[in-house]
Amino acid sequence: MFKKILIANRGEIAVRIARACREMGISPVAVYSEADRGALHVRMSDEAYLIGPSPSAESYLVIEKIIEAAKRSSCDAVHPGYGFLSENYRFAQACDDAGLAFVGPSAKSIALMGSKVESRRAVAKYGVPMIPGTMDPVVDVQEARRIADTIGYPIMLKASAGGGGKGLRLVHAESDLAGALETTRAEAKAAFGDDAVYIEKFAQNPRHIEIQILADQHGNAVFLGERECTIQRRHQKVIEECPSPIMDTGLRQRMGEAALQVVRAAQYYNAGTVEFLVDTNRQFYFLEMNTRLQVEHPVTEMVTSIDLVKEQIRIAAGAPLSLRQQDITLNGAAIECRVYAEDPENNFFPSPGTIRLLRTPAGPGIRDDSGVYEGWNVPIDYDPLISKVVAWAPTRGEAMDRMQRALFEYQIEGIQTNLAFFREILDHPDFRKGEFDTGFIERWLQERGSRKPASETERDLALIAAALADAVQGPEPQAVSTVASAWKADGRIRGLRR
Amino acid sequence: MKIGTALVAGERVDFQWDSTANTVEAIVNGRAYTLETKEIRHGVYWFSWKGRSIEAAVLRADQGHIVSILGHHIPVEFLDSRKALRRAGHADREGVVEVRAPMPGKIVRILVAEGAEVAAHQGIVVMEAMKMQNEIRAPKGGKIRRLAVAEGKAINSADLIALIE
Repeated sequence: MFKKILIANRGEIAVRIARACREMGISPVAVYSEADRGALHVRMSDEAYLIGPSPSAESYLVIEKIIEAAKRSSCDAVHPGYGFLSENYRFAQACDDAGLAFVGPSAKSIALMGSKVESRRAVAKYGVPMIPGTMDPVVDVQEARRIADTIGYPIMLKASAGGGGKGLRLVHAESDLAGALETTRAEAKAAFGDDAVYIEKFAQNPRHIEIQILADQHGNAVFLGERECTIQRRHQKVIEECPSPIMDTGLRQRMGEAALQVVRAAQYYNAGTVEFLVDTNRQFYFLEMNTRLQVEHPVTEMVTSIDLVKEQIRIAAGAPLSLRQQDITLNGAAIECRVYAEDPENNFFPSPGTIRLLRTPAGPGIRDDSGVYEGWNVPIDYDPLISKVVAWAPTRGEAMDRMQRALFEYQIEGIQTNLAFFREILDHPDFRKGEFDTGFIERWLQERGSRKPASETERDLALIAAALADAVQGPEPQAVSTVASAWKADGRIRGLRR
Repeated sequence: MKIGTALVAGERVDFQWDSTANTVEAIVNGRAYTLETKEIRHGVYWFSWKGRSIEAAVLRADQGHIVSILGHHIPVEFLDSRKALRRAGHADREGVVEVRAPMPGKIVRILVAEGAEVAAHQGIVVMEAMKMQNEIRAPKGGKIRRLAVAEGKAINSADLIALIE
């Protein structure tokens, strides 16, 4: 087994990986940018190496700096987490070349599955069902128009190198096509350095369900049930659960087997996720494979009692899978809310800044995978995910009640978060019943309008609290009154740094 | 007994209050409150009001305080007499609204022309920040009196984007 693993990531996932390492007797080694000096993942590791300025392009995305830190600290493996370099085949190759075990699949599998076009082609050969669309990137608007006419609107424009909800555009009518194509290309170029875009038919009222797989380097593979990831906002998942409320044994078995076909097509090993769309007729279609650990992996862990990160590390060390398909059972239900530093009352703008007050949920069945602490300044430079709360219970209904309870306990002050937004969704009758599709949040936000204002009593008590605080001499924790002023304050600090 | 005037969520409120270590007596716009209290730490208070257990966190803001209570964030600003007057003057200011950048980023697209009429919530520009493109929308309907940005331009937080009249 490895002695030291370099964690090529930050935030909650770096903390999660450090925890798995420590439980396995492996020493976790962190890397950090200037903005992450003193970050939780750094504090949770045995060693930490500065790899550059705050922008990720100058730190977490620089392969050479990370390899150098791994060599300097005599690590024998590198865990990429999710995002950043996790799906960059050059990084996997660079680890390989440097004699470091990459905790993930081969560079070849990453490259194949990382290209939406190539992956569709490879998977099609194995008889996995697929959504109508183009196999090749579209050349120009004329071609895009022709294809869209053939398969019919609405269509999706997808960046070939995309992932994580970025580089996606829904187009309802021909009049929007040219503009949308241009924007998607520009976003793809900026985010992934590749402006190839392809077209897919957009399934109406679909659900987004993914299958977790584990495969070793000896040809053994299992699937670990599904994750329901339908609740999304702007194609970014916000709530995930396992099992899916629409799943039954037969459909799960068929989707699991299809996922294992994808594993074969990619000659895949390590943990991976095969994403499917499921339409209202319970037909499923291959979307893509994520060749890494997923953000939402904890819901699978809670229901299967399998530690996916530890399994990843064992597989990377060359161990054969200790699990057979018949060993895998789903027990109870788990649900996850992604807590973001963003303001739902202001178009979900990111809300970076200092966390002045933090009370985290605990108690039966609750898991909080956080990357922050009280006093931590959530940097402007990265994804605003600050924590994932997960609730487990014997049934879906109880898991939801438990999540609602955890959200009541969770208190984050000093920055805006989406906690109140989750409290409302968890109470929504359609959500409780499990009746939703990927348009759920957008529709609900439109119907709901602004949030109910505070009551007279709440306002009066707020005034009394403020009067008490005002009467006492001494520094009171500083808040941000508006989003703009948080950014202003941050901008001033950054101005001084430069 | 202390007496004062405050703006609570933008509304003017007269109040008086008195406290001991464990209790607060207050009258807010004529409504009387008797509370059991405990200062959890400076700025964080626990109240028991008619048997209800309530927590409030007071955070200092640019102007006054923001109080987080029962899932709401309520701005509270204490007014002395001069401030109260100034506030009244502000309220009936001419109807020009400044649209400012909520964060540093880049203007990727301009959606309206100077002089154009816009509806409330209509997109004015598309801004890229934190790797996401977001529309900056009009806070109210009116005429774009000034458009202060250009496509491709990098902007800082609080920079002026547009004036709407």
